Amino acid sequence: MSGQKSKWRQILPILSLAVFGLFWLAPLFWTLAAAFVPTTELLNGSPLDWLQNLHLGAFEEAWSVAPFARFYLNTIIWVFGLLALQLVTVSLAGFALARLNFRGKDQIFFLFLTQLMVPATVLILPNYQTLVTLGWLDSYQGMMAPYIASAFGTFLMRQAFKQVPRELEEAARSDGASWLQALWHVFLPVTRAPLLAFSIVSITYHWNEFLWPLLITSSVETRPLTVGLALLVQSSEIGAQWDLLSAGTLIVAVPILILIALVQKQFTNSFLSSGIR
Amino acid sequence: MPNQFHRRNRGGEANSSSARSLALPAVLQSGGAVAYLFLLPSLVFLAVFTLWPIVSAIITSFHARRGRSQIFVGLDNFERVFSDPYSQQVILNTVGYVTLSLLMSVFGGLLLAIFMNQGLRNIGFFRFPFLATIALPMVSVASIWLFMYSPRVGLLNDILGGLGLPRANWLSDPDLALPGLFVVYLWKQLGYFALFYLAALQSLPDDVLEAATLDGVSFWQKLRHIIWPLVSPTTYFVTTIAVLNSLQQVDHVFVLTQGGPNNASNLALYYVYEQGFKWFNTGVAAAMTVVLLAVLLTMAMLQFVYLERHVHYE
Repeated sequence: MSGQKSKWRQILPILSLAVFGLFWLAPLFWTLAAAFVPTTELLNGSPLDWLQNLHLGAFEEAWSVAPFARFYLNTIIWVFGLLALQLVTVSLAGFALARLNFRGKDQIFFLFLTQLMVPATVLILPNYQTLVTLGWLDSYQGMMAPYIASAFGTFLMRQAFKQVPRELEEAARSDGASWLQALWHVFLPVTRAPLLAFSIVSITYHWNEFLWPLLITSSVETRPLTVGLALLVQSSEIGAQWDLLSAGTLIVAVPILILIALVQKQFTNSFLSSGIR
Repeated sequence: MPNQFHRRNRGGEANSSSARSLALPAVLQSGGAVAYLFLLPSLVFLAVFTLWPIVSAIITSFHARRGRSQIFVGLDNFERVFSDPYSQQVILNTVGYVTLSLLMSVFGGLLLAIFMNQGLRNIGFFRFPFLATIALPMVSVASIWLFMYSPRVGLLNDILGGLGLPRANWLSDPDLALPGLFVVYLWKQLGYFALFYLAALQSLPDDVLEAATLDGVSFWQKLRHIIWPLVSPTTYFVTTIAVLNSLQQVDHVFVLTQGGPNNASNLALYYVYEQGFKWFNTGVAAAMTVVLLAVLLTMAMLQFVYLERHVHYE
């Protein structure tokens, strides 16, 4: 009796979580269906009819209505270009804050803290004006500029570098290596995990970013996927073409879904640490 | 991504001839100068894109455009932000939205975490639905819900209809537009807050929770008297992030309602966009920016005080 009861005790939560999870994803499934099934079938047919009428027409059409290939390229350039720059700035700054002694450390630390308190999203207006002054509107460097210095990344790397044993550093230094060499040959190889964590957060965050790129880009050559999708959604000629809209939505979202399915565990941990951002 | 890192690092180790080119001039070998050099790139961008914009927003907020020049108008822009019925409604909407987000992130997040924590520690598969939505772009999420809310083909009305409830025209009903936006945010972000509680729950010793079960304590008693106090540091943390996070949400406003109908779903950051980039009232937009900055800095201050007092939790 009691054995059976405890068995149910174990299965029931898992079962209900699975059902709740499916229910939670219903909007995503509906979007999937709408992208692969012609709208008339979707509204009038049964799920069995849907399976018989799967097609890729909506994707072909979305791809031809909006220059998604170019938008992909733009997103990849801006997201990974930014990440490359960030990896340099956060490694250098994190290293200085963790391992070097210098005057004004506390003040500089506070400067980084300011960025944690004031997210760039809130500063769109003044930052736009700065870009106008610099002549960086409608450019990749303009999109990247507010994020090149990253307090979140700097603090993450500072924490990681602090944990590197002194002996390792001393060995490198006694070989006459410069600080830059020590950073490159000793510190960075043993801090891959935080570098990866930072990269995951940075990629997801900027792949998904919308308002800032929307404001400063004005041409097909710079617009990222998110802006392209929003313009597709809003263009009146598309209007109620739900299959097209759903296909566009998936085109933008699928790479990120694949990324987190691949690195689910690191993703979870990275986002826990990003809470401070 | 991981592979790329590994490759790059391994390459660095193996290729020692490239090491020589990394050497700095002898003058810079001592700690101080090197530190400034290492910090320089970050400091330049922090100064131009974090510090300067704060100062610049404050300056702009005291000015208005007259013809082609900016003139000093004192507190006029702030008066407009606080006394104009239009912006008053925006503030009210934002306060409501942020409050709802707070409740959702704390209570919804904790409940979902408890649910996710039930006897399946390492079954990541069951967490995927709640993680997937966090990682999706808000623009995609909003497009998905544009479809869900659609009066004709939307799934939501089908469900409501199936339950015998009245169908609604979600996004064009002034009473439903803001809650409609909130539901989108909840769907996307609930898992994010649950993650923090899940981490907190998993760091609790097993026997604490099991002992409570054996004594025949009801779920609510256990929640209130055992779990709630134990996760209180997380609750504080989640509260702060929830405010920060919900204040920054604007993409779904853009895609779903554009603040309408009749300003009913307008939020502070969308107002900044509207004033600054649609109607070119840069002074008013800057004033709202300054109000947001004040809120954020106050919160940071409160968090600082709290951490000072509760260091033993860290």
